[in-house]
Amino acid sequence: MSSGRGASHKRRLEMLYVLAWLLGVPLTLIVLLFLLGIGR
Amino acid sequence: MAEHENWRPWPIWSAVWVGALAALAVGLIIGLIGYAVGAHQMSGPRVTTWKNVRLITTIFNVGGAFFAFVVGGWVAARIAGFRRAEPAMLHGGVVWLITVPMLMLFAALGAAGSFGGWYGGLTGSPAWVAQVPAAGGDVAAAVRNTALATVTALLLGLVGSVLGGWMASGEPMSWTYYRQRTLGDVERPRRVA
Repeated sequence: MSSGRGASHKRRLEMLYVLAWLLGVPLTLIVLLFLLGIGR
Repeated sequence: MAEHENWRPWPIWSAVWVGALAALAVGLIIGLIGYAVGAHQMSGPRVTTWKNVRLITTIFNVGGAFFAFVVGGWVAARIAGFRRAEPAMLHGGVVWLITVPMLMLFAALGAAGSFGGWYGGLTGSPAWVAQVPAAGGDVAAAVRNTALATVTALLLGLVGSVLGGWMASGEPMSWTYYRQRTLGDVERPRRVA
């Protein structure tokens, strides 16, 4: 297990993955529904 | 703590139940906030076409269906203490599985509306309610749209609960990590540059 700057960078990257999933899935669906003509 | 090696493929039910209750609670809270800020339509024209649906309604329904089950799956996997993604995601899925009949029961009792408008397709007519013959030509369209919205909300809940379990396992949520996870340090391919 590495430590220091590399570990912190890895941790930030993993947090980014979590955020990408949690925001990406609902936002994709909302944009998709909007493009299909719902909510206009 | 359920470790990967001695974990037997059976859900840890206490964790699953608490996860399901958490999903219902968060879904209820988001749905009620939606009503409070006026995102859901309490009255007026029934939603028979998708054109009538406003964007804020879509956002609240999608967000409520998704994040309620993210919380449910996360809670279940954290209580069970999984450190591996697969059993954690499985428990997230089981949370969704036992939440669906609970939602159907709420719908039969008339309480599913508090979760937002998209679970309307779960509502059949309960056997103890006298059938009122439906009139009008657009009833079929309304039924179809309601069913579509319910399917969307339910599948979004499944995605959310599995993602919540994955998140709770603490393993990186990227595809490439799992190709190398089982390899030891020796056999792990070494990057040249």
